Amino acid sequence: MSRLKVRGWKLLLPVLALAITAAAVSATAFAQPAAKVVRVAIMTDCKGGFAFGSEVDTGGAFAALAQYAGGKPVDKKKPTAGIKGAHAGGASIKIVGIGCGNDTVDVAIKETRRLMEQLKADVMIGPLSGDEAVAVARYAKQHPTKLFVIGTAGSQDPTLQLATKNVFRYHGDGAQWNAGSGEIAYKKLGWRKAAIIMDDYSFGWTSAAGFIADFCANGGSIVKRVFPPLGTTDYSSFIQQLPPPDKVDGYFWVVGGTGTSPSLTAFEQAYGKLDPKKVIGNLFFAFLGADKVVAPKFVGAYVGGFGTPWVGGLQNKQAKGYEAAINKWYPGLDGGNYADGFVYNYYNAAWAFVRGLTASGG
Amino acid sequence: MNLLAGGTKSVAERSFAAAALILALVGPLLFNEYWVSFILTQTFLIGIAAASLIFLSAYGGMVSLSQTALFGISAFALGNMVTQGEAKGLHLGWNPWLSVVLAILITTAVGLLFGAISSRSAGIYFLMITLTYSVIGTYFFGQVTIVSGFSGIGGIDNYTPSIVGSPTTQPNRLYYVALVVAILAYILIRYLVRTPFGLALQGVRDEPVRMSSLGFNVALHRTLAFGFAAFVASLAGILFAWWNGTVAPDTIGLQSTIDLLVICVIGGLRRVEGAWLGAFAFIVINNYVRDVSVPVLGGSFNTIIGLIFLVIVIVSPDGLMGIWDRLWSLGRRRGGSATGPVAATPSGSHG
Repeated sequence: MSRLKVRGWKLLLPVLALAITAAAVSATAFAQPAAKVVRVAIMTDCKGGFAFGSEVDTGGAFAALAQYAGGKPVDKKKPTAGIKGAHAGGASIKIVGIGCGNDTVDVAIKETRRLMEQLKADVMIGPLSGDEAVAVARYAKQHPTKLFVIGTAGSQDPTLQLATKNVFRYHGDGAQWNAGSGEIAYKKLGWRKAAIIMDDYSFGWTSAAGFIADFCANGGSIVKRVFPPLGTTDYSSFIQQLPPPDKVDGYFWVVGGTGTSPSLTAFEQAYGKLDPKKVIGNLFFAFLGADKVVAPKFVGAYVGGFGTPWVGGLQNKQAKGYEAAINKWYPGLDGGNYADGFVYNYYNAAWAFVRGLTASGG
Repeated sequence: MNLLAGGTKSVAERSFAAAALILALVGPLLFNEYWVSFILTQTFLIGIAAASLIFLSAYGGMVSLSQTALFGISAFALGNMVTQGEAKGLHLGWNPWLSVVLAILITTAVGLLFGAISSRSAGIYFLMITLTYSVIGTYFFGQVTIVSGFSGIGGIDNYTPSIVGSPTTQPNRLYYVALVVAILAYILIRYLVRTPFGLALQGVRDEPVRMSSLGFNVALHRTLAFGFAAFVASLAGILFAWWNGTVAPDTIGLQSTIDLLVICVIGGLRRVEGAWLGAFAFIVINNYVRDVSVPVLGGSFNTIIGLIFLVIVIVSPDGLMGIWDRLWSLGRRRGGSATGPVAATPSGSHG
């Protein structure tokens, strides 16, 4: 009999675990929304290639809420711990949640729905990357009463092609971040024929557009465009699609994340060392470890950036003010690299939101 | 005499089922919009996909890892056929109903093909072949950008049939459509396993060599079962495409494949009802433990779902439905209506 009792209790363990979850859930399931405050959610990545974004992006956004809306960070070393007391335009700003994306469309949508529908956020600051922002812009179109301020996604689609009215961006896009590179290629490097290899997704297309617009406007021509899908690990077949170095004046290279180094290595294996004067990269050449692995091979090459003064440090008065603000609220954020676009763009997004809230009187 | 000791099990189960059905029918009146449109609608449609896997496992003896791929084929096919003006995909702009029918036919045909290829394998080899299907599905839609690309196809929810309406502004419609489809899928599976084909399939599951010697075509039965499961999975894929509005390769990636298997294990791989029970538990836990950190271990959803998975596998390999079966057995013993140990419910006996 006692054995039966023990077995019975063992059987109840998973039921008990589910019951505890159910108890926690029930209040929310039946709860009705009741808020007079502006409910804000941060959407960033805490998994995938941009997993570092969770603390870095949140720190940027919360620093702006602290600087311009009177918020107080709960933990200056851990931005995701939250921020309290922020208010603007007569309304309290309540952070209801921090979304955890993984650089994929599917998770971005599910997290956005959780933030906006379950946690009842009025405003979302984010997401982080290009395709996520496209998906969020589609979602936003269906939810016109909600406000979305893109965090640092650099694809043009959300604000140019989809042009969703309740989606805003206060930082550059991939095309702007590469503006001028085509002109440099044509006028300074003397390129006339160029080939492009770019990640086959919205940010890759936008980044390439920035180069193509200038280069072709100056008289250059793009002789080949190669689009490796995201997630490619072996780039050899795509490299073979590129014209060899003696058939083209240079390459615009927009292969990012874990693909930057393997794609360049595949080129070297096929055609030998790539001359820094025959390649222009985008911001992928300078972050996610590429600054240590890729950049040393291309000293002297031109690369697009985030549009932040990250080379040579922050120099002007406004930039110094921004640096001081981050240093005040989250000292050491992102390893002290405050000019990193992830911190800077989320900071700008949150600042813009505060200004809008103030101007509209809450 | 307590409930477990008295009455019959089927009466109790039917009572629970009736109560659950009534609760589901009045769900939109009881629950807030998020629960209706996100938790419960998702439970119904993911449960259908899980039911296709459980059908193959419980009645065909085949644990298939390709159900997410089939689910995805249906969703991608629908997305390509109904949408217009998307950056990626064929965006053919066809009639939603025609697209639904074609998506189901395409998925079922692919399921039959998958089944024919894998029908002569068993055990770990079958598992590996179906895992390969899953990986092929993800990379096909990721890399063949004419039909999708990694960005996926969006805006599918703008092209739903009138009965579904807008899943955003009319979430109750999709809720009831998903509920009805889930019920029909359940009834269809229950019906099929009682037909001569279903009984032969269970014979193939238990004694393939004997069935073959009796003149049954084992490979054909497995292939047809796979095709039927693909049909069921295709229904889930269509509902998902309407519900999510977007389908992308990561929707059917390896993580989703594992998630579906976890759902089936939590619910119980031996009873079809477990599909919706497992889906509900998984989705609720996924949704509500985001900000919970397990002491010492840390983490959140993956840690907690992993612990629950571990406990269920150790305590009740037949999942939550198995717990119900075993609790019932314990109750009967305490009630004195049974003597020796009661075996776990045989597969198919509830079919």
